[in-house]
Amino acid sequence: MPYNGAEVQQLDVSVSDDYIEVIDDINVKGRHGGRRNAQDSASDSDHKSQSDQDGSDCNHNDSTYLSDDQYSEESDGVEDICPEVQEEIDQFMKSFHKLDFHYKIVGKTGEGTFSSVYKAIDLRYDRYINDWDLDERTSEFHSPRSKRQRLHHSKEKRVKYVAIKKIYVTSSPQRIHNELELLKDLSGSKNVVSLITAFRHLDQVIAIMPYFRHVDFRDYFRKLEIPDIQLYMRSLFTALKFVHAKGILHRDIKPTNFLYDCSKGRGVLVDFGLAERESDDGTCSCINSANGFRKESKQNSSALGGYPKNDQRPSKRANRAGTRGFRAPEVLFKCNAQTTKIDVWSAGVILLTFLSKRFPFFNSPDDIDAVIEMATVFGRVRMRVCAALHGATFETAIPTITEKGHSLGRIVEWATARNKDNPLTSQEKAALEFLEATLELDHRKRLSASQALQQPFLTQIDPDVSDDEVETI
Amino acid sequence: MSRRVPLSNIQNHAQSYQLNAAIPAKRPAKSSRDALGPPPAKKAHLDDAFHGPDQKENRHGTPSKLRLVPKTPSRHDGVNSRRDVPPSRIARSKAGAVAAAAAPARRLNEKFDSRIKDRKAAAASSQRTTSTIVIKDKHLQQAVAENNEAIRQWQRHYRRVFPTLTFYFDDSMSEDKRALLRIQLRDLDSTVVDKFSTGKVTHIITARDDIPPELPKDHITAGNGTINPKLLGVGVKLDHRDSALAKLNVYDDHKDILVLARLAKMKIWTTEKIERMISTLHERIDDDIMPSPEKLLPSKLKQLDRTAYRKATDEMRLQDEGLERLLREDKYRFSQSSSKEMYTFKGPYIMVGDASGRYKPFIIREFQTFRQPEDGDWPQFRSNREGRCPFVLDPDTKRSYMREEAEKEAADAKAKLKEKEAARLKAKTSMEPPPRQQSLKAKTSFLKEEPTRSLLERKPLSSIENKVDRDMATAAAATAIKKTEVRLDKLREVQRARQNHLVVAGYEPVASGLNATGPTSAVVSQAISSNTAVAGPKAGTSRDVQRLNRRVFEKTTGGIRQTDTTAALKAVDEEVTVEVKVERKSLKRSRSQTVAKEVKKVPQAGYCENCRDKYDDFEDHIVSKRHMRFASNDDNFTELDALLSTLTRPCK
Repeated sequence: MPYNGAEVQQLDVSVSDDYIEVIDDINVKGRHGGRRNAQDSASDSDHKSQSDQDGSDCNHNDSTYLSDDQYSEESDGVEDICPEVQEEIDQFMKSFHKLDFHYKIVGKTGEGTFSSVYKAIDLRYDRYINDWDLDERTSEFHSPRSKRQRLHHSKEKRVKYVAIKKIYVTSSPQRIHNELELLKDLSGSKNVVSLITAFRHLDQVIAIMPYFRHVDFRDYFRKLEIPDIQLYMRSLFTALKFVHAKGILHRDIKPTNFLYDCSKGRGVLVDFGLAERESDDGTCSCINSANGFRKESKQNSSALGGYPKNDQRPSKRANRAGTRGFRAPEVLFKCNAQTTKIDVWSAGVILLTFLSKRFPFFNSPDDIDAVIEMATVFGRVRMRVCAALHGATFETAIPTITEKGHSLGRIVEWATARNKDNPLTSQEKAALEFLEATLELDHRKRLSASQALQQPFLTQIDPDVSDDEVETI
Repeated sequence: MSRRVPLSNIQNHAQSYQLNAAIPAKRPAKSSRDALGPPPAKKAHLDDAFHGPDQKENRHGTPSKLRLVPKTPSRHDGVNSRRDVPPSRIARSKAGAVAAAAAPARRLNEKFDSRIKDRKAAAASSQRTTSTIVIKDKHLQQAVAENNEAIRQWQRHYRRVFPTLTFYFDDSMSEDKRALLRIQLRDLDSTVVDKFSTGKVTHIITARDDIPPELPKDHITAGNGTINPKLLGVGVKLDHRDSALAKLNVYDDHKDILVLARLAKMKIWTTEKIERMISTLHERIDDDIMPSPEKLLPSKLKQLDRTAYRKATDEMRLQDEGLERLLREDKYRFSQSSSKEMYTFKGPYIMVGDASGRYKPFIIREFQTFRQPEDGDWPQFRSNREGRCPFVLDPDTKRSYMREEAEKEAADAKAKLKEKEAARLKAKTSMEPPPRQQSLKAKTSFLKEEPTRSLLERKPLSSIENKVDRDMATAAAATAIKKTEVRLDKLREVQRARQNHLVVAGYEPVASGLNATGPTSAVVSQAISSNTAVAGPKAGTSRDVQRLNRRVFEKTTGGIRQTDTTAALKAVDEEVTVEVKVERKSLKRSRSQTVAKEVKKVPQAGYCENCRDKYDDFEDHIVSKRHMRFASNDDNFTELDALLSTLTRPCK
């Protein structure tokens, strides 16, 4: 029996008071008043992801435990779920009567501002054509490295996991439509999450997606060697290239949205809740500006040094959806012609995180602090030029923001406590070169994802480590 | 000539034109608008007088997107006969047209200002029944299309013209603005020269206002006679020019570059004008964008009602979308010129604004001044342990203190310790720690002195965030500047706490022996509380704790998550647990037990996109009648269902 949207809509779900008992975990409240469609407000998706770390408080039953292979372990996993979440899950299953017929939820892997994600066993896996199942399709290519992995493969035949994304009912149908439609368009890449199916009952929409085993970013970001980082970045840029080629901006590139399995060297880009299609109706001055930016005039500008108290002028508005610390300069400068390059910037921030071994690198509690932090790195001159590019003025009198800023290499050196005895390796220097090209303030000079994949840093990976090839589909 | 054809297709074009032609070029200089008026944008045209409809002057005008002025100018004049009536878009343009003999150029220039708004105004005017013109929809559409075409033609024309122009920026402009304009103009292939030479320069860009001092400031009350067109509408702008001219005549100061430029028949453009030109040149024109009057009008009316200009006729109100903007601009200029209305930064600040001047600055924040920059609480590089955010002070050693202390009282002691340490640090230029025992002693003594000090102070970052969040929650559409203001208001109080903390934290890493100083010795070792971290295997586990903190603080805003917190506590290591428990305790204390311990379901406030409404309790809301009405109406999901039907899972 096919399990599809239409069918589910006919399910006899009694709409009672306990209709979808959404547990109090739900974070719809939102740190920004919950208005995420407003261009200026909200959309700060710090805590939305399919992954664990931003997840429920009960996420000690982490995917790293659960993703182990055996069915028997599942029951363990269920026991691990704290009662509260279990209750939530029960209620959730109840709200979709036949959901438990198809899926058995074994844990909650993530909770965001706009949705919750559960890990579930795909009980009826065998009845369907499962094009989405990359493990199945590519398992023969895997070079089993350990007994455990082999075991994994053999058992996997029996137990298939999916991620169930429960989109909160306060999301508009248009927003949900946007996300699902983009997901649908984005099928076919190994590095981008696919959509197995989705359905709705009343206002509750559920999306079923493949479950990806992955490791918490904070568990490995300091441990990765340069070749590992190269693999990570190649995987990420492969995903970005695919997404960008479809004219789609992800808008929320960050480690928690890139589920990376270190052992396989494969990552999957998830969460297109903030994604949008690239539009060309922006009017930012950066569109028509030619490349020739002259050197910024001397800094002794007649800065205003103040602002009108009762400024009646309207606020400049631009989409700023994304996560703090990962927003590109053009987003902070309210460019209204943002391009896919904003994702490249965010990817660059991830690379900076790896190289500096600092996470998060930018704290950026808000956009103002974000600009300050960015200026601390890049200096006033470059910030002013970048601001001017987007029709903005930049002035500051913060003493720790220097004229010229610091080079990224210097920052990495400092962050990793290098000295003469312990200089940057040539590998690291190569990585820094790549980093400079992705963390370029001027988005026009910033690498595109496909350009990035042409860079030596992503093409010349130490063969020892790259046996698990990242494929471009 | 051809480029003007579309314009003349627009209703009223001819009308305006005739009007324009009928008016003498120069009017007597009279009551200045003082600071209220926009800068003398069109001075150049005035000087050059009338050159005929298709003279080069026209080039400097910008076509409006749509010009739909009533056909009864006299009536309008009557309408505007109060001098304090603000110039409506219509009146303004009309009066402008009236005032300027360089008719088409004039008019175009006036329209230029209202270019964007005009479409809306046009839409609005289409609704007016009082108007002598009733425009049918298709006419309107057509007119819009034609008008858009006119703009495109204008753009094409100017893209050709700009390369032939040579600009000079006078001294009144800020460096930033000059730099920006230089870039923009060069992008348009114009020439920008740094040296003023009369032979070469074709246009001077100035930010000056040119207000002659002898003119009465309060021109609004200056006259109450019959209507003088130039006092209305365009008069707002023209008066400026008049006064500037007056100045020229009276004080023929040949050292003034603008005077020289005038003599050399150069064009003098204000920065606003050139910015408008540039932005219009870059604007994309879409035919299908037509704001619906229904959406525009109510709010517009409401706002107008609130103003002192409510006596303006309905006609004006309805028609003039630009009025509001104009008022805003005037107000802004006024506030700019008046130092009373200007806030001047006193400490380190950051400000990011809109170069075009159309929007208010969107990033403004000021910080307290510290003798040592590293004491400042703005984000800056902090030396801390590997793995930690470089912009956040490292709290590591705080925990080691905690461990050694009687856990329940540890936090209380800190407050006092901070002060002492602050003093010490200020006295010492080095970051050398005092002997550890001493500090412990200090702590225990403070412990007795100030046992009730709130822990909230230890979480300054969180509390800032929290406050901001709360603000945003209550005003979903809060603008950046509002936020900033809120923050500035709170800055002082928060900063104190924050700084106290910084100092103590700066001390602590040293004390614990974890003085991780990298090669950059300039960076001071400091730690910050919001990142209370775990010395576990994970780096940056602090996020867990941060989240915890947030939730704990959410309680104060009504989001109590007792069970959550408890559960989460298990997840973090013991030390943190201790700390958080202490914190919770203190919180409870400070909130005088408003938190029931066993509250299970805590109302979750938020915003429902479907009901377009804020709610206090998620669960109540989603079963509310209103929400259920939405949820159960399949019509709301038609599009989504269509998509979902394509997403069924294929059977084998």
